[in-house]
Amino acid sequence: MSKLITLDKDYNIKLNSEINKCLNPDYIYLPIKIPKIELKKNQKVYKDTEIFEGVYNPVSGYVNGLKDFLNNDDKPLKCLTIANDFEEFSKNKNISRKKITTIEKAEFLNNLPNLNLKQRFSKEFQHVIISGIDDEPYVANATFIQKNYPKEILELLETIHKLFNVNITLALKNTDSEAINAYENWWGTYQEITLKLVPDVYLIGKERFLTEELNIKDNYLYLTIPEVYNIWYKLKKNKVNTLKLLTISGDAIKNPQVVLVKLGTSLDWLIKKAVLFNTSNYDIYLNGTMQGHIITDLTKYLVLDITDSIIIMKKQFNPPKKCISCGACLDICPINANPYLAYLNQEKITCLNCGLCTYICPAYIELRKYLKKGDKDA
Amino acid sequence: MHKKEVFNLEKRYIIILSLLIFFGFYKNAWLLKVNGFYTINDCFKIILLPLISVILGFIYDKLNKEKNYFSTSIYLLLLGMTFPSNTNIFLYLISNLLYLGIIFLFKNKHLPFNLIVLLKVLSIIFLTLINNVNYANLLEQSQEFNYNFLDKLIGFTPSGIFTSSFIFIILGFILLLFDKYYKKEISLLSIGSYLLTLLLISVFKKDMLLFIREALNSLIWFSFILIAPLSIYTPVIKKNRIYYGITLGIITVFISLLTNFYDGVFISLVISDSLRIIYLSLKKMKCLRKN
Repeated sequence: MSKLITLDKDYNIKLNSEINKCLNPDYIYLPIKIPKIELKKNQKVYKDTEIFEGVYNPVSGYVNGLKDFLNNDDKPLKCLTIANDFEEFSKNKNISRKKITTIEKAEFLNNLPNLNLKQRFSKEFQHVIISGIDDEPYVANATFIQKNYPKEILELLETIHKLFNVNITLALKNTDSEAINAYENWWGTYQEITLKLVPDVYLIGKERFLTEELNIKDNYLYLTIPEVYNIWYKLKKNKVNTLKLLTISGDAIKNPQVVLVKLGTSLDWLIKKAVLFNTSNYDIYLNGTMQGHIITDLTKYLVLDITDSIIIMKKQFNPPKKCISCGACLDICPINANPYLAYLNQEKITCLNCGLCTYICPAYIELRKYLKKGDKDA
Repeated sequence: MHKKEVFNLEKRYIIILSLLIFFGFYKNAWLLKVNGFYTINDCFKIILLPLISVILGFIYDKLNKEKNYFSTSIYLLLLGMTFPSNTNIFLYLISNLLYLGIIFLFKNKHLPFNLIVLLKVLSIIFLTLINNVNYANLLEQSQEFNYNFLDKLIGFTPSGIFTSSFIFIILGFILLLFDKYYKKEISLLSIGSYLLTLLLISVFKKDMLLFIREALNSLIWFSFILIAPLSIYTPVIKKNRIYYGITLGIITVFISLLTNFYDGVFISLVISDSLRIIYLSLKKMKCLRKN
């Protein structure tokens, strides 16, 4: 078993038990993935239509030009602005299946919400491992999905079990009582699904560590709870889910919460709408305090499909000190990378970008600066 | 996000050093005054030594823009505390200034050897040349004492000026063992290999008194627990820390027994550092050849 640790957390930070719906932004910004767009200014666009390949419009409204943003890795991102007319008008017929368990295998595969999932389902597998785990501290997206849609999750898992004749293992942290309780009434109905409780250690939800914990090495398909829910949504409602659950938390705000938000919403609008600050001295972490990074200009960022959380913490005044060569970063690295050498030689090395080296460093050195995210399970 | 550290390694060191200084002052100044060997002025001179280190370290840290995890005063104290009690105040000051000068010169470089130990060895050589190495204070020199186990444990035996309290060193060791950033492999393995080698030699020589006498040498324990594991001067990789600890313990036995130096542990620390430098150089050469 890899040397995973439990992180120190502020247990006073408690999320509101209800999901806060922030679904009426004035503008939506859709990342442009093609060089040329055929839409004209003030052209009417409808909700749930595919504007570009793989990009669905979450509102109805009018095209309002282009705007520059940054993606979660701070790379430039050109977006099409849609002015929301708040009519939520969709041209798609609202077809909703009564039960997805009766679906055929071919239809299931054709209706997967994105290419990545289609590729993963096309491979041979005997086990399906579902990670119902939020690794980042103060983030509870998976917990909230499971708390609010346990029947939906189990219904899809049962469907996968029937169609592919595979073993299904749902992994939850043994401390996540909300998610465990959510399934309590349904286990009798869905007996083919195995529940595994895993220790509450950081990174246990990651594919490589979860499979190691469950002792499943080959022929498996790994899915996360948001992916499971999105597959269920597509199969049930015959449209791609353009909404996203996002955790807004931290010790610098009065109302830590999970929000339901439309993809393409500006973070600036979202924070103004949802957050009550309890201090003016804070840092905003995009996508978590461990694996994310601090952002300063909220107007430059959007809710993208890879955005999971906004953690707002009171500013910590920890100026970096000279490295004391304690080797803690080496000892803690779960993949045995060498952040110390990267720091000494000022060169980038590939790793998981989990942030443990920065977390453990007693000299407060931002070691993650010298590391770059690798491809495998990063 | 950084881990919040409330009771960090520096604070632990400060507590241990303060206790040792307190006991050292009692043993090497106050008891001597009570027995008529020292005046109040002499006592003041003893307390002035750690004060010099604290003040010099504080000034250096204030002038130095780069922040350090350990304040420089701690390194200066660790160097000064091992000196004999009759150490001249100027020699003490010079050793502290030399330390500061060298770390200033090699500010941005990572020193592969323990500077505290190197300066300590140089001072031993200097003191030997002027025939002035004596770890016994005036009271201890004045008459023949028959030290029992309790004396050794509490620290009423000849040792460095502020390093004699064996019990405070052990208590400090327990405190340090609970710190994540303390290189415990070095201290544990050096102590372990030292005691084991010493035991084997004592059994071989059929002289168990040798074991009892050498095993409770507080200067050796002070060096193994507080000086040898200092992060900036020791191996970073766990495997190398283990080798370093074992080597140090074994070498210390032989140096102490062969040379009969009370402070042979510092020479063995220099030898261990030299072996480490040779190992790293050979490894580097091997890598270069491969490329």
